[in-house]
Amino acid sequence: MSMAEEPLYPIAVLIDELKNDDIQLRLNSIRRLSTIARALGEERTRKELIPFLSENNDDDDEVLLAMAEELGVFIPYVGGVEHAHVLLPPLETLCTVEETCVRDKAVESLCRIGSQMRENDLVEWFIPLVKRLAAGEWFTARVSACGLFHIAYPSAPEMLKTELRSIYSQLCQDDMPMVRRSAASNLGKFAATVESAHLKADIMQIFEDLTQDDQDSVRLLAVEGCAALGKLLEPPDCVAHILPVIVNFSQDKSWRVRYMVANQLYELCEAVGPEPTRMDLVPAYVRLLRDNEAEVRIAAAGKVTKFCRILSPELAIQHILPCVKELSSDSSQHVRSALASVIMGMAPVLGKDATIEQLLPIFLSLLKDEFPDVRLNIISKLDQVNQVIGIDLLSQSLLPAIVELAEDRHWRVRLAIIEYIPLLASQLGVGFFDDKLGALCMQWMQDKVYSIRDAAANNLKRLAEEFGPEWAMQHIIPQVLEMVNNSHYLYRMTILRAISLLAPVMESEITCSKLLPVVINASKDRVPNIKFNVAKVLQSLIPIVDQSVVEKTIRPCLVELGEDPDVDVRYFANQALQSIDHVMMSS
Amino acid sequence: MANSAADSRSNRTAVQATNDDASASKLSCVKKGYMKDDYIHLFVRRPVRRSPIINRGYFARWAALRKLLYQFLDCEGCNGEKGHTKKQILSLGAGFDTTYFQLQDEGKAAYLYVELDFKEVTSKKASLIESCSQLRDKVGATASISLENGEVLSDQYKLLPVDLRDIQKLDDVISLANMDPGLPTFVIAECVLIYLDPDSSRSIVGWASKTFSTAIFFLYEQIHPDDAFGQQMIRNLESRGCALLGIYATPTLLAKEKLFLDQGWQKAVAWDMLRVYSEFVDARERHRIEPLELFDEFEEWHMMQEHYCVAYAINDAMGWYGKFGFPDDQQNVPNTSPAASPLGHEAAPRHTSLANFR
Amino acid sequence: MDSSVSSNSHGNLDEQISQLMQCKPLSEQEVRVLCDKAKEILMEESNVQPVKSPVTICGDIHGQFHDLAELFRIGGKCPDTNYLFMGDYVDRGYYSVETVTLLVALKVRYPQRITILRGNHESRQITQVYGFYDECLRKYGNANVWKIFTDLFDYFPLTALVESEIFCLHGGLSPSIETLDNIRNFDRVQEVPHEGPMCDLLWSDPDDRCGWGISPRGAGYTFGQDISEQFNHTNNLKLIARAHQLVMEGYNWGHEQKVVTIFSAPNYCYRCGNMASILEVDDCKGHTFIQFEPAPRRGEPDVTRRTPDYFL
Repeated sequence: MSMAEEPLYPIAVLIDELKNDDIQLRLNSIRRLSTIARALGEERTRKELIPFLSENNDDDDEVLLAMAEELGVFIPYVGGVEHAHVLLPPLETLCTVEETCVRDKAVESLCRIGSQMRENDLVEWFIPLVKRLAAGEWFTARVSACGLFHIAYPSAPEMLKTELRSIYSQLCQDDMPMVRRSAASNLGKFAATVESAHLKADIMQIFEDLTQDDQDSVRLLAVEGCAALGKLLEPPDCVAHILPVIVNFSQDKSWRVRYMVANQLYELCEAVGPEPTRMDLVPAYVRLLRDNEAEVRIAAAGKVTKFCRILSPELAIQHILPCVKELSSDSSQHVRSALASVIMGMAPVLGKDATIEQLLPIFLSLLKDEFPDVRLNIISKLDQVNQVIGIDLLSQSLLPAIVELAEDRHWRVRLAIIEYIPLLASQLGVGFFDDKLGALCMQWMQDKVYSIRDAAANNLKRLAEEFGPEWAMQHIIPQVLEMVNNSHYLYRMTILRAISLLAPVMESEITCSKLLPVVINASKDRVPNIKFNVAKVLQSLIPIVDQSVVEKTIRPCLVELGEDPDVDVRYFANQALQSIDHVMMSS
Repeated sequence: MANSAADSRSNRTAVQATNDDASASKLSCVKKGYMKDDYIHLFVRRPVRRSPIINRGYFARWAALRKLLYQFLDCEGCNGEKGHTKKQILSLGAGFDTTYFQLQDEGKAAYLYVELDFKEVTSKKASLIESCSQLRDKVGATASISLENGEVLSDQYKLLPVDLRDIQKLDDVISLANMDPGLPTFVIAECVLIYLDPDSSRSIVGWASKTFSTAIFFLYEQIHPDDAFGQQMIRNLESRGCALLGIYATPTLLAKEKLFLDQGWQKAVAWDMLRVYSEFVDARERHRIEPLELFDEFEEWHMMQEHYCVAYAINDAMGWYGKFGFPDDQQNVPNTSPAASPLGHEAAPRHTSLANFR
Repeated sequence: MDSSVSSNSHGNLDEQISQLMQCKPLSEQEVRVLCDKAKEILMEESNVQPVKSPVTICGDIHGQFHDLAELFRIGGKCPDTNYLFMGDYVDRGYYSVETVTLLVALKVRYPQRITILRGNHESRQITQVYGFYDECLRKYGNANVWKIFTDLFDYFPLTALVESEIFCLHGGLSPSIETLDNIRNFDRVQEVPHEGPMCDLLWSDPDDRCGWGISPRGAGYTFGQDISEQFNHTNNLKLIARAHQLVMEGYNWGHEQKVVTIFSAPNYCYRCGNMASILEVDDCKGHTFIQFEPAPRRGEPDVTRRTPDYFL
């Protein structure tokens, strides 16, 4: 609906719509709130619309969510920042509702508004709001309060600052775990606004309490706080206060806390600096890699390359590599899969010799893993290893594995192998193919799965490009043409596809003498699908063969197909004929 | 609130959310006429319509629990006079269950009904009870309700917050609730223990056995995590944050029975829900509900019901509960299908066609 | 047929098909125009629609659009590969609208390359219980598209006959039907009735027990091997291919290879953990089953938010 068509919107109509039984209508009118406000003007928006919205807080969550979002950008419609405070009451109410996502959005909008408000307005309106929520009887209010302190605190006068810190500390000891969780997850943001003197005293005390919370769900949010707080502290303080906490967490009795440490350890290392990392965090990381909970090992294994990068190669080889070896035969497939997705990146870190001696055997065992994701993860990153140890060595050791994977039960694994073939080809050269992979490339042309056959045809084209027409003439074309009489129409179609892909690579003479006759012959196929694909292939050949061949061979064939009983054959033949005319006209 | 990655597999909020999901599903059943419950709608903020398979499954669970509960309540010692024996019900992880209110209406109320759950849940339930006169009347005028503590305390009904994994606190809560360990007690755990780690489940089952000398422990939860359907069930529930942490420790009917026997219960029986539905739930009831909705989910229904079970365990110090439970529940009965009836078509579960599909 | 006219009119349709291939639904108006064209094509088809080999035969899809896309990755694209779908395109999955619109669009664009039969879910009544109605409401804000499609479903053929040998249908046989001519002779353009031959074709199941049995579904019958053998003999058939039942391997032979069940929705309802399959009948009438698993669902926004229901 355009603006012009919308009349001045009486508040009564809005109220009607907001009370409509159809939630979609209510949602629509909430989403048009800014239009409505513009129509009402700033004053009526402040005096009528906003108070109405403050009352209208018993709606469906979806409507409330939209309202919380809209109000966040509403400052211009109430008359600018000096009136921003009128937006606080409806959002305050939304901060107390049951549905988490509504509350989160309300907090987000409050932060957005608060960060634009003038300092004395914050003191007059915003800080009291934060205090009210923090003292709320229902825990949802207190949960929301935690996310507002970082906006309220900087503008507060000294006395009030002390009070806010003390309120936050109380929230961290709230009876409700939900509140403590919210306090823990917002601690980093709040701490960033606190003066460094209070940081070391008050905030670190709060933090240490949280790290010893009896709820693991609170402790694990404290883990997230480690990195954030670490960045605020001087390195020596960080080592003194944060490092012991991390080391403790890495041995927490709850696996979820340890999982969080495993996920965050890399960031934590950055916070404490390289030396303590080597001294204290390597043993912690090794423990996590050997954790008895698979989830923890998954998280730790996924970080192995990143972690090694901040260590010296010696340390990595000495401490991490033995764990990697163990993980490669872990009982959990997900651990192996996580490892497989990053392990190739270790090669540049470890250097050529260690890669050859230690990593390569691990790659090979992962390539034979029974879980397809593990195999796929290795194959898709092989090129990272090429650069370190060279393709020769890699391919010698990989070839047996590739041959095996070429027949993998999972078609996406086969696909990944096919897509890797041109790279192998370009680096290995002709000799390798003649005796090894040529047969495989042909075998894929008769795969049961269409996507594999299609990829196989593409692969042939890329091989022909790599090794040239003469090689293709010897090693590809005869085998391909042999398959054109396959009894299954979809396999014959694959051959047609391969021909249309190969033709531009081959010389025109070969195309006309070897390929074209096969295509023309296929136009007599009993299956219409083959015939209209012949038309498509012929169309693709028009630009690459001589004009006389088009007229003498291609056009008559297409004309005949153009009179086929099958409608699709006629359609594609006519398309091709039109394309001949186009080419003729443009030349 | 930042949702941390570690929460992804099993987290408390998500597990608590299963309560809302269950209440909404029960309301869906009630609205379709599967069962009567005048209270559940008070606990559901947003009604949803569930598919017939879910409605029928919740009905089966409700009917099984209800039938066993009646057996327990109706059972009297040989010289007991009807209605004279005090009995108590303890519901673990009760959520927004309304059984207490229904039993009140039906005149079948136990002497004492105690519900336990996490504080986040009991606070909400307490506040709903307080604010709704229909519920408030049923807990009694003298009930004390504390929203801040998440408690409701009346003579007949107690709602208390506790983390079930904290066994010491369980003892405190039981005495706070005035439960008498000597009285016959029915313990309910519907889809509760399975979310806990196996050690906690074992401790709870063991604690209940030690605490109550005449008791029934009723368990309804998932089994068979290892076949294709089971693996998918595990993945789906994990992805909504409700990992079935306990399922691998008790993956089969036998393992469920063993869980109880190992923890000191005198007798334990577990049936899968397919069997419970066809051999325990009253045929009349089945015939009443089956036409309620178009039903086109048979293969799935069979699979789903095979992945849930009812297990019950008995401690029978008073010797009252010899005949409690499923019919002919000796484990070595060779064939589980009912005596071949001439009307075999409707009575026999359709194992035949399903067997082909494996 | 004038090729330039047809290529113009196809231009639009080709675009719609490629839009649908990306799981983006058409507008209500586009659906209306499409279904008008489809109706003209479908009303010309027989209750026993003859189909030539080669053709790839598929079972239930049930709105699992991404798995239909996987099916095309496995079996090949339409029109290059010929397809015969045996019904149940809608309900249960999250993308019934996109799924059925795509199949109908392909039917309109390539009527000779694809055959779409009616399943028991292609009905007004059942789509109101099992999801298609709600999905239309959600995606279009009103029930018009549901109305347009369910009106079109009345025209879908009930059965197909591949090379006079393979009898394809959604459910199974009916005690009121002895010959294919019996089927050819009734008026199918109506809502699926609660009983009678048309209902049975869409609802019945093969069973291990001989003869006819009462179906637990409340519609259709169960039929034994004796029934299948008699029917195949009477009508000179080699095989009955049908869908309708979830089978864990994606296909399942029954009645000593007189009947086969094909199910093409992998991990049905995102809950069952089953394989799917399709049956390729090649130009020499050879049979190949190809099994497949659900497509990896990376980047599908609904995956994390929505999981199927359980008893919790």
